Amino acid sequence: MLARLFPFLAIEWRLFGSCDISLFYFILTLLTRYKFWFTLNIVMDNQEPVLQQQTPTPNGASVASTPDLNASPAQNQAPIQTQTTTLPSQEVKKGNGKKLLVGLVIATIVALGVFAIFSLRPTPSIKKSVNGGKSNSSQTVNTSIAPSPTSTDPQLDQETQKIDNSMKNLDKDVKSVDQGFNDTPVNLN
Amino acid sequence: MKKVFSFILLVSLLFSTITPVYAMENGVMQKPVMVNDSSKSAENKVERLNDRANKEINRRVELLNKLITKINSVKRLTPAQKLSFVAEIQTEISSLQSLSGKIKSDTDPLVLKADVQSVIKSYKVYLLFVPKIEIIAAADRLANVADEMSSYSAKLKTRIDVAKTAGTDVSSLETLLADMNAKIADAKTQASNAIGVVLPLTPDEYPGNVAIFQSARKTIQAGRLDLVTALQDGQKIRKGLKGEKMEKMGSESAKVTKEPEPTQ
Repeated sequence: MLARLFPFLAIEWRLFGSCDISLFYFILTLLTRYKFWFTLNIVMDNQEPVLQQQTPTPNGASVASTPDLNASPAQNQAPIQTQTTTLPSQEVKKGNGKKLLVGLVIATIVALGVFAIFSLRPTPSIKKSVNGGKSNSSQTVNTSIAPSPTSTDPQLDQETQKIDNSMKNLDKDVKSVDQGFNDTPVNLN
Repeated sequence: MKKVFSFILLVSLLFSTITPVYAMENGVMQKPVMVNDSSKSAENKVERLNDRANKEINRRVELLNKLITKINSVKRLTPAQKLSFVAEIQTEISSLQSLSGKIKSDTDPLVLKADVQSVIKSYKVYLLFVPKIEIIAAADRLANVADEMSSYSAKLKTRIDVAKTAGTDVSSLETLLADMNAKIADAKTQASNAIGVVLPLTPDEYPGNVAIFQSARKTIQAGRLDLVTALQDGQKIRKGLKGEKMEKMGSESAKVTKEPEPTQ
């Protein structure tokens, strides 16, 4: 069953994973497609020749219970001793139902996994902020000295806040110096 | 029969989603029809060159205008120095604008090419002024932050002195404060050096003076690191002072709990 699932997953991943299509749509498609696929299998498996209900005859031989138009009235009046048995088609249906359930569970788990990967993956802007200030000049040293919430000296807090802002501006200026050195004109050739 | 039906269904399902992707790929891969007309291509070339030259000139004029704003905000330049800078930048802007007009009217491709090349080759003022003013502005900011930190350091000293008067051992805090003050002083020196080194540079010496710019840049970076260290010293002093306060509070509360209960 997994072998059946994986080619689908690969295709889904290629088509939706690489694109910016809503994940909700992706999961929905995944679920509905597998549901459809398994339902289709059930329908196909159930298209087997109709098994006839059998009634045992007094001499032990089994005869089809379908009414025989050519049968004599005497035959029709024979004592009917029906025996209820589980039909093979019902068993198949049960088995397919299980398959469908397992398939849906796996598809949901995979879809949730994909969703988790997507949601945990940092966006480019976050990546940038994580690696931010990696320029050759800034020599990233955390200069933030924002006052701690437990601080008890508001005058010093104010002072440190002011210096913190000034240091940020200084960092910007140092970056501008580097940009001034690496000024790249438009290609005029 | 069952297998055939499911196969067809599967294929149709796949193609229903894949087809648009292929269509998109084909759309991207479609190449524009080549025009063989040589006069048209020459015209296009002139147009393209004109467009690029104008873009570059506009970019330069925009940046030079930003430099004027920066120069006017620098505190460590005299008004005369600022005026001189602004006048030079204005002259550069005017000549770039007249070059832009000439490029627009150029019909000879060779003349046009020479004019376009001159945007980069003949306008050294721009090449010199961008790093020069950026360095001056950064050095000015460095000195300003150093001034702010001097005031911060003075406040820290007052608090250390208070703690000392109260009988606390503040020798480690005093050492930190001395280091902080030394770093601040060094940052101020670095800022002053950077400005002093780049101020006399002229466009005629360009690009021979690039090494001086590089050293000025390193000076600013060193000054910035000085300030970072000074900030860290300041943080340690504040932590030390806070710890001292907490200890005091702790000892006072201990005294309260140790007080003997009145005997009945």
